Amino acid sequence: MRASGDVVRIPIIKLHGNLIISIQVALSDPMVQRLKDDVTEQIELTRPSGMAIDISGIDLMDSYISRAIRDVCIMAGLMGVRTVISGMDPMIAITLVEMDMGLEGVRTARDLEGGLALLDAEAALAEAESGDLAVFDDPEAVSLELDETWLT
Amino acid sequence: MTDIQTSSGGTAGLEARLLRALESCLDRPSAQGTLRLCLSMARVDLQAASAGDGERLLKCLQHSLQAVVPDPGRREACAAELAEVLASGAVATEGASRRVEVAIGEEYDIVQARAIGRDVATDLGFSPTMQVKIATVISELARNIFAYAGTGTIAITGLDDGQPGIEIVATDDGPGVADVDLVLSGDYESRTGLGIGLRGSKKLMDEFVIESTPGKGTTVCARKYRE
Repeated sequence: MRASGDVVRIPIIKLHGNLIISIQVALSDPMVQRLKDDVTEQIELTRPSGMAIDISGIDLMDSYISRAIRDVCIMAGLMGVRTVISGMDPMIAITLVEMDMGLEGVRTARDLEGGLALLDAEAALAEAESGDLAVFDDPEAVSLELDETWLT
Repeated sequence: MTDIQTSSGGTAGLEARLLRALESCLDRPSAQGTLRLCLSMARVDLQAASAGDGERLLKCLQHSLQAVVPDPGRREACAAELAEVLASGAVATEGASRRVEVAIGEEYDIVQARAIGRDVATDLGFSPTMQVKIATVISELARNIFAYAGTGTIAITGLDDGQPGIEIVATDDGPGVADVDLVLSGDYESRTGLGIGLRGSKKLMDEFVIESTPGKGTTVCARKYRE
């Protein structure tokens, strides 16, 4: 018998501005609980702008596992972190659709690389947008903005 | 939420006992991998194994241990334990149709049940996508047993009368489902997603029957035929 606290932990890696979580094992209840605790703690600690969960190592997703992964994404989203799931196996995608179990509200990418690219693009866009706000200090820029509004 | 460590009623199926013996010298994932590999290499069905099957399996396990356990003392102790388990294992000598029964008592059994189900589905010639679907259904049913009844069994049978297929029977004596139709209708969703899982499972199968008596238990019988 395993000692308590001997729950297999899913590693969370911080890379540039993002947290990367790669799930390679079958998730159990204690592991999911632990993952939720760890993810929220890491978000608090490291203040990432994005989080990518790679599920290419998962060979099967039942309703419990898809719910657990969706929950982790929603939690991170509530804390202001953009999230993406990557690497779903084609056969799992078929199974989930036929079971009528999508991952609503969760964004996906083909692979981890694509997921990180998506997060970086969004971070860049958000940064540019917050940069745009500074433009409004410039009176000319504001009038230009107004002109465009008039046109529509 | 039941913790693996605190869950009681861990059952001692032959496979679980073999795993436990292997775990005396290997970690759990290696023990599981070794056993599965040997079961498939020795072509042994634990539920319908003859004495010869047991010998073949033991020989294969001993070989595998030689490769991964460097300490001869530990290796031999482990091999002796395995031999004892196999000798005491009450296995049927006759086994026309392939039938595997997995006792569900702790969360890890869910993983084991679906792995076994997948193997059976593979042997029966189901396509890789169908194997995933079948394993998913087994996972749903096993998880329901674990979450609501605590303990129960999943029986997986290869069907070969006319149309080849697989039958999954999940049995427990838990609290039961009061209104089966409501659960399957889509208007009901429990905290843990019971409705979604059962409804989804039904969609993946050709036949799906739930019989449940509140307070007595639940039996789910699901069948999928090969195309």
